[in-house]
Amino acid sequence: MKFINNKVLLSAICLSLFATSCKKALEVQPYSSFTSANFFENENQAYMATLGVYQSLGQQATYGWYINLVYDNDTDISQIDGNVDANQWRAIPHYAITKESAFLDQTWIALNQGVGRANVVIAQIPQMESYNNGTAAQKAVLNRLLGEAKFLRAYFYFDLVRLFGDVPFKLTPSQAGEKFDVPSTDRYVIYDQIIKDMKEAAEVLPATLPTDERINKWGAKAVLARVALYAGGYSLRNKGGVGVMERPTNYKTYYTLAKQQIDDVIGSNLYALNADYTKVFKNQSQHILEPKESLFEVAFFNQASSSVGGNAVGQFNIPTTANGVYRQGNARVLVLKPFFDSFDTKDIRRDFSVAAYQINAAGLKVPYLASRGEENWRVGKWSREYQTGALQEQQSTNINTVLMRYSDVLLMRAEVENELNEGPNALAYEAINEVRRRGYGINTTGNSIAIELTSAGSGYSAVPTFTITGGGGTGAIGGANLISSTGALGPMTIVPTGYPNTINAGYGYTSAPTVTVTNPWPDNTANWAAARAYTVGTYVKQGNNYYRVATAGTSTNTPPTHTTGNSTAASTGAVFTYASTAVVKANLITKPTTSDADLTTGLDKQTFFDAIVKERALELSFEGGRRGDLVRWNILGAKIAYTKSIIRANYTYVSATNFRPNQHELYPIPLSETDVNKSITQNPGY
Amino acid sequence: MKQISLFFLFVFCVLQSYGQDATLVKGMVRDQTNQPVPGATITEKGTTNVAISGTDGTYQIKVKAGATLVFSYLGFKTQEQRVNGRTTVDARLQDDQNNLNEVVVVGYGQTSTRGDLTGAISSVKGTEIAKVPVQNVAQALQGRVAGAQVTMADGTPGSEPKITLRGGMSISQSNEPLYVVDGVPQTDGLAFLDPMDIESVDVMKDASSTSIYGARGANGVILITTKKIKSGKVRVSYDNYIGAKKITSELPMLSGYDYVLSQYEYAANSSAAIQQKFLSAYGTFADLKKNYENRPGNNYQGVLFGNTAMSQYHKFSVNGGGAETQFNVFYSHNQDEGIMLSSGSVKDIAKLTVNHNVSKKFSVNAIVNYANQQITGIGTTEGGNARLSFLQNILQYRPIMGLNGSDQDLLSQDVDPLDPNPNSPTFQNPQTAAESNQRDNRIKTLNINTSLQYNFLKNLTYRGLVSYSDINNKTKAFTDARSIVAVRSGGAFGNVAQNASTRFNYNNTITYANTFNKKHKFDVSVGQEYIYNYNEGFSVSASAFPAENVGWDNLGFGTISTIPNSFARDEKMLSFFGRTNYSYKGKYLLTASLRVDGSSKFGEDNRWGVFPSGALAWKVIQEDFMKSVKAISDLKLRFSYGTSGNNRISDYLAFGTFGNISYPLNNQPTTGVVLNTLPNPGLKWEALQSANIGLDLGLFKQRIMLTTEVYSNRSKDLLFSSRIPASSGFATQLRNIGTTSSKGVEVTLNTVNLRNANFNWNTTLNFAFNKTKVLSLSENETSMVVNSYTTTNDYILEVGKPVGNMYGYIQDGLYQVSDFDYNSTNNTYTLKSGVVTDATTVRPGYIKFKDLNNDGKIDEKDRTVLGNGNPKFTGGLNNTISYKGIDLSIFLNWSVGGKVYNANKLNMQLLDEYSNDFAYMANRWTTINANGQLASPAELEELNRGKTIPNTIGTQDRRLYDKMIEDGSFLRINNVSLGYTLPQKWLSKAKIGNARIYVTAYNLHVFSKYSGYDPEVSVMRSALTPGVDFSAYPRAKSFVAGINLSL
Repeated sequence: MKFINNKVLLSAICLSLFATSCKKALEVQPYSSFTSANFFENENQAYMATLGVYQSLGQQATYGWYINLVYDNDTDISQIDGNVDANQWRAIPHYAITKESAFLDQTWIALNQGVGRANVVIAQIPQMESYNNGTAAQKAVLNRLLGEAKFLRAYFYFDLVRLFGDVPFKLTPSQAGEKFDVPSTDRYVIYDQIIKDMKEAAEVLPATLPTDERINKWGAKAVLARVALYAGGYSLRNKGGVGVMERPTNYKTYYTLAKQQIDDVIGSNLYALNADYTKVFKNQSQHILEPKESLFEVAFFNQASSSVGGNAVGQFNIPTTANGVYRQGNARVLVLKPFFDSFDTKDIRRDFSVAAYQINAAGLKVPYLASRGEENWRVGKWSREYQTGALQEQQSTNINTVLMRYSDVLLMRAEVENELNEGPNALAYEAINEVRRRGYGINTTGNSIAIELTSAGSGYSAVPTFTITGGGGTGAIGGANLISSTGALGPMTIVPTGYPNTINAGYGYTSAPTVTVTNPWPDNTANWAAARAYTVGTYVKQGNNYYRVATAGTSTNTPPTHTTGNSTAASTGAVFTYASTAVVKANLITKPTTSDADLTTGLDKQTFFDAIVKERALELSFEGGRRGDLVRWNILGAKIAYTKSIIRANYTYVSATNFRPNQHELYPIPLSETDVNKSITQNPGY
Repeated sequence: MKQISLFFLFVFCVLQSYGQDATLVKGMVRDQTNQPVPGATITEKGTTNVAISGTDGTYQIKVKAGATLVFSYLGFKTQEQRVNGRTTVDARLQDDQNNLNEVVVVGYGQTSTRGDLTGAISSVKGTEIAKVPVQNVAQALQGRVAGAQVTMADGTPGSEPKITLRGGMSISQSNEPLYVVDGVPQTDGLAFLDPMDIESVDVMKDASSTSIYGARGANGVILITTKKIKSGKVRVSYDNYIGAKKITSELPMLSGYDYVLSQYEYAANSSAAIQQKFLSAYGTFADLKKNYENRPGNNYQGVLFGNTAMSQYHKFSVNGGGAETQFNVFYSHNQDEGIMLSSGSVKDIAKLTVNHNVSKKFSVNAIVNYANQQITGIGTTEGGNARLSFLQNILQYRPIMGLNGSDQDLLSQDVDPLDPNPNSPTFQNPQTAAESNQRDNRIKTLNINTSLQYNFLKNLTYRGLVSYSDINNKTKAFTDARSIVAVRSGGAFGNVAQNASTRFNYNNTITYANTFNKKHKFDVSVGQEYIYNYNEGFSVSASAFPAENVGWDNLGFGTISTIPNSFARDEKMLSFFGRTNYSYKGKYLLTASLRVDGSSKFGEDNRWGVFPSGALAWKVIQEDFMKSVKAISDLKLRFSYGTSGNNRISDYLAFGTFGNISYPLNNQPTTGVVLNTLPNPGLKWEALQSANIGLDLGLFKQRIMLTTEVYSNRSKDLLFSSRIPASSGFATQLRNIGTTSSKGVEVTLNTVNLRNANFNWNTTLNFAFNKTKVLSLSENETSMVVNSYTTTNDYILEVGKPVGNMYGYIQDGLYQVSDFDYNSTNNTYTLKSGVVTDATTVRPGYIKFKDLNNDGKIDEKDRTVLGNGNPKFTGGLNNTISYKGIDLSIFLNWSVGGKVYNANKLNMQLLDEYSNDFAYMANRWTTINANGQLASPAELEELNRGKTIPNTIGTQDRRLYDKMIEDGSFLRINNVSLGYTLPQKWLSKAKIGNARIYVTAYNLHVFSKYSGYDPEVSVMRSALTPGVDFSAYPRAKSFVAGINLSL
């Protein structure tokens, strides 16, 4: 009888005394939550509030789906599957963006909410008793939390300005009665604050390698370097309602800022690339933190099998996977063939990053062989194959979204050095080559393999499965085309490897593996019989020979005995094709050396820049940064047009028709926002 | 006054009748429907000789031969019969159509007679409700009370109708009136009541009546009195009905062939892969006609809603008692199947009422009411997302299997092999979906209610009431492995949630009443009330159940569990009030009241609200000059003004509260906190100011009675969770943002068309006109755009305009071939300059919207008001006819001028892969020529001459436009009921007191132009967005047959 408490009785007395303690009679205490009046009393509460700020990164509308997987799409390396109409969210990557988009609005709200949460922490911690008069340990804890909140606030503003341009700017916690419909602030005013916040954060954050997903000093500096490159890059400016892509005249000061941060990070000597490129993503897929390569990541873990709290990475950007050995997902990110083609064949990253195959229920990788099959290629980096397969991860995964890897830092160094020195210096070459060598697998043991058809076989109805065993490596996939007239296997046409029966060259093979190929005929093939009506595709056994019926008919009394090609109808009734099993072998490909991997020396500034444009795609593909890079370099439109010009004529690539330069570089301010804040200037073209 | 005069009469009569001879007269008193009337007064005219009828209606009295007997009973017309030597004189009392003596409940134990009323209160008698059984008390008010709009959101079994009085003033908070059941305020609906257990319903509409309920009175107050106890012989009665219902109509869908053609057209405009998929599923274009022309395809509406749903009701009751203690106990069982597969509601109610008169001064009354309701079935609105509700799934599911099987196979395959997203199917055959999504909602309500009355002095009365209620609401959901949601999420999952709320309420009033100088009659009441609400609940769920499982009864079978959650919250309210009534010579009446409410929901500065009111009435009929006007039997003018409030908001909103979230470090759930809401310490009550002028007119000895009310309401400080600029860190904040007004006229006309001993015909007609207007919004705001069923900003609140305006585009035909330059090499259409452009890339056949601001492009600035979801006027017409034992009632209700936003249609006006469409889409703009090829520009023009229905392939355009707004005016034959009361002479042999049998037909027909299921629809339950029809549960027509029996 919880409800009959003292206060009830009190109010009864209150009646008799008529309103002596009426105020008390109406006092209530929220049972299920903390109130602002009693919060921020100790470090643990400050910590919980800071985690609340982090959580704005880990939502579907931010880095659990939209920003990294949906918005950063339809570039020169990937696109979202389906037509604009298939689902509303597709309108955004497909450049059919409207202000009404609920998806953009959710992101807009989530990022602003992140700022708001950070503002509360930044305002409250300095007022705490233990921040001012506590022990050194207490102060250290609170300083770190304050630094984290500042870093995160800066990060949310960074996303806001790079996605939406000039936005309302606010650094204080919101109070009731405050006027919120403030006009947009110039993005460079906001950038100044972002830089200031991140610098201050870096001062107080721990300088050691982290043991969890909380940001440290070097992570903050690496992100600041990226911020500086965006600030020093192009963005769409509003010139009286007309969009113009512009960068600031003093953009090099931002590059200098970036250089300082990069030098600090690399100079810390704490970071290194994992020798095995593939291991980085396999570890991500298995939730193994990679503190030396990964500088900043968003944590995901969903307790239940729902999309709340989980990540779309690993179920949205995966190969098409049938339910069976692995769990199906929503494989929606398509890889563009020209991107695949842009890799060097020796580059291990190509076959690992691009899934030119689908995974069937048996867990086998089946190449897309039909014409236009390459339009179905998808992302391979976070394949279900590498995941732990936990039930919780069926609908959304616990994979972290990694926002800053060390290879990005190295590539930023190459870019910054090239820009500041008006051409690549040794540092720039060293940095990009470090990334490339790792990508070519130079420091790992084992090689890639090429699969070779030594005997084409005959009488196949379908391309058989190539089973590759042994050799110590992984990832290789063989494939073939079926030559319909003879049922023999032949080279594939859509794979530009120079190894026409290799769909994936794999890696890590120390000896040539064995490749077995299934027979054309089924195991229980019946013996040939006279005077029987045979339909096309039936297999018969005659002695030790197998045949496939090529033309239907009734068999005569003459059995087929030939060991090549077709029998004649006149002699055997039905036409029988001799069936034989193809023979396939694998050869180790010569292991690439540093000279294979290294970039051509002596490049000029522009050529080296072009190499960075390409290298960032090869190294960081599908990780959520491509579109942003292209925008800051002001080549998004050009890259889309170029891709269209080299892609097969009837390849579905809607960006080519939908992309409008000087508009789509920024998203519209959501209509729901401009409906309530009329002081905001809408972005050009919307 | 009346009693006093009766007393004098009595004394006078005693003197007159003294010392005369007498004979014994026996008889029985019955009402119009032949029910016995216990407690009726039988007086020998001109004497003090009085008898009272017993529980079986019989009486005996000794009278002089040649005397005249006067039969009277409250609520009935007084009847006189001359004895004329008879020894048996039966009386059949007619309902008193002159309602001036009718008792009206005015709150806190007080009553008034209708004649002395100063405010606007409409009443419905329980006998009227019992005649035409309904599922919910609220439903019984439909069309019977002028100004009360009763809308069923849809036809879901067990769903509560929504009542709005005088248009509803709050724009975002609940517009539900306050229900006061036997003196206890309720805000949780009326489902726990048995509609057969109602004595009377009094609907307070103006603020002078409602302000005694202060902060909760702004939406009007509905006072419900349950059946009174009658003393006398123990009486057992049994009521029963059984019924059957059927869906009223089905929405016409594309024929099988037209469906396949639409899919062909979609494929032809899509990628090669989709074309290939079509080919293997349905065959070549040349064969389509041959294969599908005579194949109707599956009718899923028939499968899901085609059942005949049965309902049955049983009620046993026993009542009786002596002078000191009386009791009434009943049990009722009400089973109501839904027309949709596996949906329905079962309700059991048990109630005990005990009255005890401790002494002449002191009486106690206790009521215990227990209701247990179970609602099952998935409902039509649930679904994967806002756009794909269950109803949409039923409508859109593909009707034709194609080449690879019979259409019937579609019903047996849990996941369609053709689903466009085989990895994460979006559609499922609706039968499997209905069966695999099990839902169960049990609401147990216990109300205990004790009241006592103590008369300190003759004129001084104390009334106290203590009530406790306990509502336990448990929802269980289990999605078994067949459901696509389970397929998508890795197996079956289930959830059990329970919500318990307790309410403790007491009030004390002291009333002093007296009359001075025979002219000044007055009473004063003062009182106090306290309410404590406590609410707690939890929710647990588990997923990834193995193939074999026991469902929700053991979630432990699941292999993954979520973190359970729970909550607790409370609310307190303390109030003081006073009311006085004064009348001078029975001609001039004055009522004044004042209430002070304190509520814990508001910020410290605005916790207390003061709600005064006053009312005046002039009974013109009592004036001397009216005596000569014979035709007029009643004339009264009323004027009232008052204020009341609305505090129906969530608890703790004035506080800033930190809620928990998880940011999982190292793959461990780690709890963080975030500020839930932007606190608003300035939050205050919504306040209503209301003025009401009323006129009561009776003609020809009350054969015609007219009540007219004219009102003007003004609501200010309206609470609204408004979207605020996101730079605040929040998307919304609850604020007091604006002022609205509503003005209206209500007319109620009662006529007695025919009246004689055997034949009676009465008509009740009511009309209500209501007009709302937004007077202001928050500072500097002149308009506010709001969402309805999705986030499409399709309603607007604009200063100077009515509430409930639908907001969107106007169609200006379709884009024509001539609007474009055609590039034949890549088959693309580019808009010619000068032709209005749209944010989405347009093609011939797309909707062309009107460029209202003439800037050459279509954007949100081209939106305009398309219509209003509120009706201009509503009304009801009830005819009751009785002839001897037969009674017939025909009840019509109507609504005129409201628009319906047909969101089902808007949502489906797309040519999408896979999904079916409404039949009208067959006549769309087509891109396919007779040979099945994409038409050339010239062909396009030829094929589509005169077409107005767009073809939207390649867009996901669901912007609201005028063609989706339809006229929602309707006239409904709400119910027709025919009853027969068996003659007493038959019954008495079987020792049956009374028996009536009846048949009733509900929702016989709706006259309407609306193309959806039913124009009386509003699924959003918000005053801002009335008239949205999206996935409403289709309505049924039903027939019931029943019996009322008492021993």
